[in-house]
Order: sequence, then C-alpha cells, then structure tokens
Amino acid sequence: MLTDGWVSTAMMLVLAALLPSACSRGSQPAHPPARASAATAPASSAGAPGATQANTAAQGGPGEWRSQARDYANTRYSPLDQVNTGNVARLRVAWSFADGVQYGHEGAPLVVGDTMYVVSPFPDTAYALDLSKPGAPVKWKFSPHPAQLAIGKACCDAVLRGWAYANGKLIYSLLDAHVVAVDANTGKELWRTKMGNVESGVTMTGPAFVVGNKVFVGNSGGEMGVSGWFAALDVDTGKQLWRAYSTGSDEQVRIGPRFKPFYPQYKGKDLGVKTWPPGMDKTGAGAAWSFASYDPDTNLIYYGTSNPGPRVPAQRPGDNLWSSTMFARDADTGEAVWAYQFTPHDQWDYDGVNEPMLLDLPINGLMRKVMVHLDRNTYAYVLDRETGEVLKADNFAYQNWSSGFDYKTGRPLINPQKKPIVDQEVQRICPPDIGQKDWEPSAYSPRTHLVYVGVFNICMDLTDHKVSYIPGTPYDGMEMVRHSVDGPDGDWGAFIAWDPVAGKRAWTIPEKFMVMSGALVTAGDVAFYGTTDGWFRAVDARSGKILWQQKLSSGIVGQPITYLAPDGRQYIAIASGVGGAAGVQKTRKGYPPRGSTLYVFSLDGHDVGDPQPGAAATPGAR
Amino acid sequence: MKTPAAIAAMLACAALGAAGAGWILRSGEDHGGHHHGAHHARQRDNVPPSPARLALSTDLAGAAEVHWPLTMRNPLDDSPSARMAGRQLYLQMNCAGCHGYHGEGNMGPKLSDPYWIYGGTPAAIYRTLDQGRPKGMPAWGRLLPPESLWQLTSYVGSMGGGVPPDQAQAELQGDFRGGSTDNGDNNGAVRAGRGQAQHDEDSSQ
Amino acid sequence: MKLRRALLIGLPVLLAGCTRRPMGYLEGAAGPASIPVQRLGNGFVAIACAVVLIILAMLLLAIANGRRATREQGGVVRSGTHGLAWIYWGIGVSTPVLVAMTLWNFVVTREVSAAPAYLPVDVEITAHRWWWEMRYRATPASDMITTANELVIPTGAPVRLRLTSADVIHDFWVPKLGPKMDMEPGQWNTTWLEADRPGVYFGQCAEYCGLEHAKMGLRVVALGPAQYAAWQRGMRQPAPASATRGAQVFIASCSGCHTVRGTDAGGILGPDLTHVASRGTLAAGLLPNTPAGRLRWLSATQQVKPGAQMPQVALDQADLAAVAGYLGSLR
Repeated sequence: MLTDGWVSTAMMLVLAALLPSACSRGSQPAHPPARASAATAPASSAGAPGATQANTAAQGGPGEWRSQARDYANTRYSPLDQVNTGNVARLRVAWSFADGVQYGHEGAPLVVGDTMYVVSPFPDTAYALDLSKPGAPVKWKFSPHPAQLAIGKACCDAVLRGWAYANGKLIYSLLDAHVVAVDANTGKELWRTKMGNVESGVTMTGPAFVVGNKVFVGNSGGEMGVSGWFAALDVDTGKQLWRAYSTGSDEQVRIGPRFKPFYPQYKGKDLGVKTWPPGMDKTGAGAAWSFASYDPDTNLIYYGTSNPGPRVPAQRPGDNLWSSTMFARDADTGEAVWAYQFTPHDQWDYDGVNEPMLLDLPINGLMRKVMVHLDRNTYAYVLDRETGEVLKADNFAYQNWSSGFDYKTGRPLINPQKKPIVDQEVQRICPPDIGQKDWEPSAYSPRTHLVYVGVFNICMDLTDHKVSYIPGTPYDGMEMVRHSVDGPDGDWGAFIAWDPVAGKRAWTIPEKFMVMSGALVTAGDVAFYGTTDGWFRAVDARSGKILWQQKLSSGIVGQPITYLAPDGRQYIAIASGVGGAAGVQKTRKGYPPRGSTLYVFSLDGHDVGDPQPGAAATPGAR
Repeated sequence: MKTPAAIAAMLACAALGAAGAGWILRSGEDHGGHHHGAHHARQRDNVPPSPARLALSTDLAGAAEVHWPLTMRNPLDDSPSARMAGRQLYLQMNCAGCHGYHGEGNMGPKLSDPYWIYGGTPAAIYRTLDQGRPKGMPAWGRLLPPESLWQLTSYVGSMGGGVPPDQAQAELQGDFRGGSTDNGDNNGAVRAGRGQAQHDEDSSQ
Repeated sequence: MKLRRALLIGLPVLLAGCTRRPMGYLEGAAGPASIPVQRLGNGFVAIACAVVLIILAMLLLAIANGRRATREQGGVVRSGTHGLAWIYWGIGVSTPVLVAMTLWNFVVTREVSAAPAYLPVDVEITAHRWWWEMRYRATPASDMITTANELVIPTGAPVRLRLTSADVIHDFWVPKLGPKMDMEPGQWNTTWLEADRPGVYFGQCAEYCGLEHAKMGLRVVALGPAQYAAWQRGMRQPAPASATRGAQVFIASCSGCHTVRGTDAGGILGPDLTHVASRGTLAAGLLPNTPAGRLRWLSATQQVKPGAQMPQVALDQADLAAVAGYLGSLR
C-alpha cells in the first residue's frame, strides 16, 4: 500500500531530525565565549535538552569581582584562565594585608576597577586597597564603631559574611543590626539604617546583596529567639522598601495573591501563625543570614531562612512555618511567589539558609530552570525555581536522621530513632546542628558542569533541655558533643565535586577538619578552597587532583576570589582567620590559633609594578 | 489490769488520737504553718550585703594590699546544695547557651579555666553576674535575688577555675598560678569538662 | 468525775465534726471513670455490713442458744447437732458472693481504666514541685493552650490525660472524676476522666513529693460545651499590651520564670500566667485568687509555702501591689 512507504519515510525523517541533538548531547565548548561587560542577558538555552548551564553574567568586567558570588546565580565562577592547571603550581604570595581583628574572616573581598574592598569582622572596619600600587596600600579606612553589646549576642563568632558594592557605594551590615553605606571613593559614611534592636539578640552577620537600586539584607539570631526577616533597602538613601518576616501572619510574611506554592501544605491562611503554639511565632526565628540569588528573567530573589526557635522541638509542636524554608519573592515588592520548607518542624537546627545556586539542568530529558541547594539536612535539592517543586533530593554526604524523601508530599521521612528527647541523650545523630554543609558557599563551573563545595563528615550526641525565653539570652537548649562519622580518629570534612544532574559525587578530597571555606572555580579549570587548619589548595576541577597548596597563618573560613589587577595579571585572594562555626573543632589537635590576614597570590608572586615576563594579558580583559 | 481500767485506757487513747487528728487537719488551713516554716526557712535575713556596688579594691590602682570586699567569702559557703541550685539556675537562665553546658565557652568566655576577664574570686564573679558586662553579659541582678546570685557564684566558681578569696590580691597582680598548657592532644570528641583547667588548650578569645 | 469522762469521750467527736469532711471524696462521683468505682465501693460496704449484721445476729443467736443449752443441759458438748452443716452452708453461701464481688471488681477496674475510643480533649499534664502544668494538645498548633493548676474540661466529653513529671514522682488524683495515676519523670502515663455535670472538683497530689506535697492541690472545672468553647477562645488570646508600672516591674522581676504571652516574659520555670486571673486559686489551690490572695502570695511567698521554688521577690510594697494589680488584669 502507499501508506507503508510514507510511514517508513516519515520514520527516517524523524530519526534524522533526532540524530544531531543526540550527537551534540554531552559535548562541551572548548572555551567559553568571552562575556560582554555588564551583561545581564541570560545565557541559558531554553527548550532542547543539553548540558547544564548557568547565567554567569556578572556586573562589571571579567577581571572584576563586584559581588560576593560574582554573579546573581551564585556560581562563584570566574572566566579568567591566565592561571590554569598547567601553571597553578607557580602561585606565590604577592602581597598580604592584616586587618588586626581576631574573629573569623568569612567574607569575600570585592574588586571594582583598581580597588579592592575588604571589611573586617567586628568592629566591621572597611578598607579600600589600591590595587594599582605595589603592596596594595590602604586608600581609606572607615570605622563604623558598632555597639560592643553585639559581640555577646552573636551565636557563632562576631563575623561578617560579606559586603556589597553598588552605585559608587560600599554597603554592608554591622553586627549591631544596622546597615551602613560608605562612599567607595572617599570612605565617608553616607547613610546608616537601624534594622533591629541588638539588646534582644538581633545581630546582622549576613552578606548584603545588591540588585539594581536595592540592597537586600537579613538578620541573624536563630539561637536567640529573634523574629527573622529579610528586607530591601534603597541603595541611595538606605530607606527600607519592604521587610518580609519569616513567621507571623500572611501580611507580615508578605504572602498574598501572588503566592502559588507547589505543595498543598503551604496553601492556607496565616500558616506562619497556625503552625506554632500561640505566641511562639514571635520568637520563632527563621533568620535570613546567608546568601541570596536573583533571576533577572523573572525578577525573583531567592533566599533561605534559619532554624525555628527554640532549638528544642518539644516546646513548639507544629510544622513551624516558615523556618528552614526557601522563599522566592518579587524583588521589587517582596511578595512571596513560592516557598518550600526543607525540614518541617526542624528538630536538629537544620537551617535552610544555604545558598541557592540558579542553574539550568536537564531533568528527564527536558531542560529545567532550577535551583540547586545543598541543605544543612544533607539533601542536595534541585528545585524548579519558578514553582518550588522538588525535582531531585539526593544525599551529598552521610546522614541518618531521614530514611528517605517523599516526592509526592515534598516532605522528608524522619527516622524516629534520631528524634531528640528532652533530658535524654540520643547518640550519633548525623549530621549535627551545623549539618554536613553549613553556609560555606559552593561554586559551579559551566565547563565541567560540576558543583564544588566544602562539606563535613560529622555527627552529634544530643541532649535537649527545655529553655525559657529571656530576651537577649540564647533560646537554644541543645547540648551536643560532635564527632566524626568515622569514629574518634575519623575525618571531619571533605572537598567534593558534585554532579547535580546525576545526584552523585564526581570526586572527593577527604580532609581532617571541616572544610568551611567558600569554593572558587575558574575557566582555567582550577578549583580553590581552604581548610580549617590553614591550607589553601588548588585542585584540578575535572579530576580533583591537588595541584598546589600553601599553608596560611591561620585557618580559612572565608571565600576565595580571583581578579585582574591593573597590570593585567590574574590574582587570587583569600582571607585567613579561623573562627565562626569552625570553632566547634577548637579542642581537636591541630586546630590553629586565630588570625587576621588576607593573602593575595599570583604566578611567581609577581605584584603590580613588576615587569611582565612576556605573559600576554587575558583577551577581553577590563 | 482490771477490765474497766483497760476500757478507760483504750477510750483515752482513742480520744487522744481523734483530737490529734482533728488538730492536724484544722491547722492545715491557711494559718501560715509557722511551725513548718521556722526550722526550714533559710537565713534570708542574714545574707550579707552583696558586693555589687563596692569598689574593686581599697586602692585606686590595685597596688595596695586588698581586703574586704574583694576577699569576701561566699555566704553560702560553697555547699553542695548551693552548687546544685547554682547548676539548676545555670541551665534555667540560659547561661549554658552562651557559656556551654560544661563551662567550655561558646558565645561567651570559658568559665572552666582560672583566667577571668573581670576577676575570679566569689565577690568578683558575683559582681559580674549582678551588673552584666559590656560585650553582652546580661545584668542578672535585675532579675534574680542575691541568694540565687550566690548560688550561681558557687557553681561557676566550682567549674574548675574559681579563685579562692584569699588569692584576690595574687590574681589582681598576676601571681595566681593556675595557667593552662596547650597540649593539643584532645582529638576526636569535643567536650571540655570540669577540672581540666590544667590541660585545656589555650583559648585565645 | 462522770463529767470529765464524758468530756474525754465527747471532745474528739466534737473536734472531728469541725474538720472539713476529710472522707468526703467517697461520695459525689461525677463521671463514668469514677461512678462505677463509687458504686463498687458502696456495694462492697453494703455487702460487708450485711455480712457483719448476719454474723452478728448468728453470733448472738448462738450465744443465746448456748446459754440456754448450758442452763438446760449443763454445758456439755454434744455431738449429732449438725454443726458441720452450718459450716457447709456458710461456705456455700459466702463463696458465690465473694466470687461475684471479685468479678464485679474486675469489670469495674477494666471499665475505668480503658479509655473510650474517642477522646476529644487531650491534655498533657506535667507535675512540678509543687504545681501542675497543663498543655492542651490541638491541631493546628496555634490552638494549643498552656495553663496551670486548673484543668478546665467540657462536660460529657472524655478527656485523655498524659501525665509526666518534671522532677520526682507525683500522682494525679481527682477522686470524684477518676482513679489515681502516677506521674513519673522521663515517662508518659495515660489515663482519662470525664465529668457528667458542670462543677468544680478538687484533686490532690497523691504521691509524697517533698516539703509541700500537702499543698499541691488541683482544681478541675467542668463547663458546659458553649462555656468551654468560650474559655478556649479566651485562653488562646495573648495578654493585652500594658504599660503600667505593674507590667514593667513584672517583666523586670518575674519574666525569668513566668510566661505571659503577648509580652517579653517567656520563662518556663513557673506556671504560665497569661490568664492567671481566670483561675480560682493560686499556688496550686492554696490561696484564693483574689486581690488579697495575690498580694499575700507575692509578699509572703516563703511563709505561705515554705520551700517553694519561687523565691521571695525583693520588691517594696508599692511594687508588690502594682504587680498584684497587673496579675489581676490577666483574665
């Protein structure tokens, strides 16, 4: 019949159409195209399945590092490849800078033009360093003099996790719950906004995040029974544009008609009150103290909230919304668009604040706009970033509190043996309160399609104690002894490469201590990280082989960056100064004393002003 | 014994018993139970004045010999019951949240070593508790009565680093020996306990 | 002499009449968890009394017969008078009665201990030295109610009680409503009770728990369904904001141990005071909850209840009065 012939022709045509896409799957570009400066156009491809993508377009040029993660998607990827796997072993210290402050150094320096901006931990002194001169001398110094009282209210060291640059201003949070803006040229204070009352335990340690004319900040104090919030301020005046609380009525949480959560348990009125015993939502925490990301296509800003307060679940039956939750909000109005709670009725202090990394991943043959989030509860979530649906939830490290994940309800299944009991010790709950990954941010390379992140390998023996709420004192109650998963001599951490599509590790570098530094990955296929005992390491991004390392003066809990100085050379900067939550390892042998030095490395240790030995500047620089 | 006498004795005992029962039951109402109170009330009126408002030493700069009030002893005499009550308060007032469940330090300084920022004698510890300190230590004197503060002083001093009152001068001038050595040999589980002042790592807070 | 003897006998009787009917709990059972027990008790007492009367009658009869026999026959023990038959009859009559009583006992015990299938009210009670903490479970969580020393329940609804202790062993006992149940630290024991009619029922801690064990009383207030719903609504509200001196002094001096929802007072060591003025008594049934009673409790805490965990707060008279006034406003 005629039909037979037509059918077979049609089939061949279909096959022919499919062939090219099958050939192209898995191929990788040899070099990423140079990004245009100040581009905010998305680089992700929609529709056809392919390799993982991310919008790594950043404010400023490829040689600058204008925000904590360099881009809105939180990839911490640099397009610079002057330093690569072939020559990274030649890295030497070019110069260093000590700010004299002993608390943990957690923030990433910013490089805008030929100036580097660093802010010390408390007392939050800001410095502008002139990168055009050898040794990067101090251009100006700004001392905001925050209140000392704040030191005793900060749960995890008097740290500052980052600062932001926008419109010629350096903007950052002070520990005593103010936000300050400083003129980036002169170092003069432009505005200071009070955001909370430090006496009742509200501090601010988180990184300010700028999008356009708005700076986004959140509070800290999840252990102090604060009421957590996330706010937007006007960059030029410091005036608050909106504030969204993490507990309370829909009006306080800014949940309105635009709120379309994916799962049924989030559909209801005033759930931020109903899921708490009466009155306890006011001390329910949900502080937003870590990194946010932003999708310019949808104008949505994403951030996570902390554990619920108190840390003793017996005192607060209910799901305790919206603690341990990821929010997607309209950046202009703060209206919630969707929310997802990673650990309902959290019983172990698994904050949901870890950074949301915005990627486009192939899931079941379709490219999806997702958010990859490695949570404190040890699940590596892949969420649809437009709806909040959980597409994948895989364990990136060892845990025993959850026996699995129910994709239908979006809830983790809880192992009843690892529930805390008041006044009774429950042994070996893995992970402990700080999770197998805390706030230390991950990096993503569009060349390897892997996520690089420092993780832990620890458990806790936990005894809960009921606690009173006394303002200004901890609302906590967790008595813990932490130890390695692998016994008394076991490792406490690792640096891993995580494949978000496969939901598996690509490689692991075991570490004796928790790896609490941020990660950095470059177009040179080098990934950088630092260890608690002070080793700054460069590894091959594809194989995980350690290519270079340098022992610094103190442990590393900061975030490495890379930039081009005015001489066209690529430099890598990392602060050393152990502290923060890494301090839980304080009594382990080998734990270093505190420090305060920023180290900047370059090939052969050359600095600005040294003659160029023939090495060409990176194409498209500055 | 003759029968009538026996019967009379029995009735007398019964009468006594009933009367006694009636009296006990009646006095259980709110007459104040003075008899219960007297020998159980603590020496509330006999608590010495607290060292809250008294100067650190009788000398401006701390050079001269120091006596009262810095050498004041704890009026509860560091008895085990005072220490236990102090331990209860230490947990209930959230001290453990900042200073650790075994005084190992966390948000607040370590209490189980003999290094004291504001002094480690009972009077100095009492004053710190009563007045609070600039970097976030609350002023408990506003909430707790002196007896509770002395109980806390007892417990905190017993955590491994209390300075005996007669060593007040020595502590002031750096002559109180009790320093720690960095052995760095506490691998594995993290727990600092009492009495490990000699062996704990030097905490450079 | 005769007068004195009369007084000696008469006085205890008089005095006993002056006490507050200490055996009064044996009557007036008001719920399905206690009425069967009361009936059983009354039934057993009736049977016992009957037995005593019968035996007494038979004993008197036997004495009378014996005396007559002695008069008539000289007090010789004779055989052939069917004495054994009496024994057989006695056992034969007593045994079924005893067996019936035993079975009745089992039936009542089971009836009383097994809670009904559906218990609309679920309360967690934690005993402290020397007060009671009540937490009403609810879904959603925001319907939970926390209160102290007074258990308010609806009539006609079985109430599940989950009992534990925060320190030593106590015992929950509301005689007119249900049986006793131990409250042990680290463990949850479950029992239930139900009130058939509205009223106030008294309870007591029934396991020696320290110095003030005798002053650890409990009130159960049974309300009709509409009144109970209104009570629930009231209890879920926070305390109104107040800037009076009494409120300020309260926050400064009392917030470390007491909670008043709606303020910064979040202490959990002592009873929740958010609606303290709605309770009938203070200090676990010890003092009336009147302005005088509140002032007395504040100014003479350790005299009224020596050894109580609440210290004598060092405030001057004006402040004590202000705090007492503030507490009175917390309905």
